Amino acid sequence: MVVLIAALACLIAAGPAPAAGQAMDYAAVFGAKYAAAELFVKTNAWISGALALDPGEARLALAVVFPEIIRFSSFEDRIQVGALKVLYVQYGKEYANFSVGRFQMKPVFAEQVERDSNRLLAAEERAVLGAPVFPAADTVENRRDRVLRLDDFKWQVRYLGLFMRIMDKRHARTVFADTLERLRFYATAYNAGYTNSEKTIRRILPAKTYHTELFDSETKYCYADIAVFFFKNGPEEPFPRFNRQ
Amino acid sequence: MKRELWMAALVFLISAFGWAFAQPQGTAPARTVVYSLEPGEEILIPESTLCFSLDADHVTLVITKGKEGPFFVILDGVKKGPFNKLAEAMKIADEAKCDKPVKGNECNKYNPAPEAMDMESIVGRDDAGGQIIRFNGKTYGPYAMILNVKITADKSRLYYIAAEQDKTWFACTDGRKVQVGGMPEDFKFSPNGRNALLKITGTLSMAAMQKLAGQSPEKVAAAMKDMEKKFLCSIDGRTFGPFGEDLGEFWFPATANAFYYKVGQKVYRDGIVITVPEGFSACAYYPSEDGKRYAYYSYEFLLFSDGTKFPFPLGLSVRTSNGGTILKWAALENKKDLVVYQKTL
Repeated sequence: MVVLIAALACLIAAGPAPAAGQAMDYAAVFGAKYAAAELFVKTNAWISGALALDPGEARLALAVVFPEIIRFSSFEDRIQVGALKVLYVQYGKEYANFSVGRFQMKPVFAEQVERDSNRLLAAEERAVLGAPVFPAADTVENRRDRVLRLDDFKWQVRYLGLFMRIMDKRHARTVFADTLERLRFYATAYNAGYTNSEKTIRRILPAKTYHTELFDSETKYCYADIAVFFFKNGPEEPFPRFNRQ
Repeated sequence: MKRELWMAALVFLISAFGWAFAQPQGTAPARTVVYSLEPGEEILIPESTLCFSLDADHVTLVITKGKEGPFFVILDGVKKGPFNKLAEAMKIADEAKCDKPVKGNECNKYNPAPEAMDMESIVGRDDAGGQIIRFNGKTYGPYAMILNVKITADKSRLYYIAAEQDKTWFACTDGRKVQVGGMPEDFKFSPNGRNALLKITGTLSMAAMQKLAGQSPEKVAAAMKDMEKKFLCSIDGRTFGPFGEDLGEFWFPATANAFYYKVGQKVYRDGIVITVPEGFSACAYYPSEDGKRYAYYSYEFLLFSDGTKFPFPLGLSVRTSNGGTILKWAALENKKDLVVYQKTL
């Protein structure tokens, strides 16, 4: 029953559906917001190099965060998270549920990436991104440093590079039919919480919860679909090789 | 008895003068508890608004009791609700008028929006083909080329960079005019419009640079080396430098009219190195007009130059009144009290 209600709610919340067999044109759906996000990616080709991944993987990583770049482009002038950052530094976890910057990363996400980076990644894998061994203690100083890192876009790129490597480790045995299925999976994990189990991520993968309004919207879309659309239709070049910054 | 009275009077006078001289930084800030959260209540920060002005503060808090509500709105201390939906609460919250909500902190680098200029009416040509500036009924020039013009916020002055054959000028319509060498980059002016600073690259004039074509490789290399030098030039004719690549940003604070610049990790005010807080950021630094006092904002505290520190400022608003700088900020204390502070710099 609960599942039925959830499915019904999902259908009601869903955006306009394209005709059968047709993929949604998200560039048209989001218009100027999409164009602004795409322009940002095109004019910041250094990101691919800084991720220190093969060109194909860098392209995939950018597709994972592309819906967040659209969202950020939509309300970058309106959202004010300054007070939330202070409360997070002051009180910690209970005030950690807010998004920062171009890739809309939450402090809880950064905390988890830092823990997993220390635990799962080899020193060389961290070094190639310029990431240190992160301090584990939950102190005001460490939370302040984390917020300062999230404020720095170059650090958001590093967190994304760490996320991709952590996902590769966590799901080394997960079977994906093709690159697009892997992208859908990674994008959903990025959006909904990558510590969720494979089963949970696959279950929530088609959910239409994404919107570009500040608080809520009646029209919502599937995060993974937008990531795939960008991957298929976005710029193929320039995606420079490893460290060509 | 008389002597004791004199002593008492003297002690009183010393105390009174001491208090007066300790003003304004020595005094404790005004502290107002705007709202105390009841058990289970939580402030929805992005939906709430802090609005501080000199004469009145308007604090609008949107509060939830539990993840799905009910929601309440605190409008200037008056609690409204409960509302079952956040949208209903937001309708009430949106009624509060606020022209300038307090953000995390206002960057204190003076960065006025460029004045809309009708360039065609300001920059024109005289009969001989030279470029001239027409501003507030007067004409300036002619010059071979006008490179940049900016009008101050009160529209009383216009600063410009102009070039002649082998001379470059940094000038103001109030009559100050400085000949500068090198390639002019950007210039900035102070909040009151009376002070301005220009950044220059190298010492060779634009004409000398143009003549480099066809010169020996040694001369070209020397010119390239010259371009590594940076200078700052004030509108009253003082030059600072040469600096290298370590010349960082230069700025006028919104709270003062002296210029500041960074060279490496050192910060200079009006050409003199000053002591600044660790991890210095120009945006977070709020100096007084005379540069003797300051406030410094971070995610952890608001620090004053008298050593007082106030933890975790949620937002900072800065206003000037009668030459003084008034700071207002909020903090969530003991996880329940939203407190607004006010202190004069």
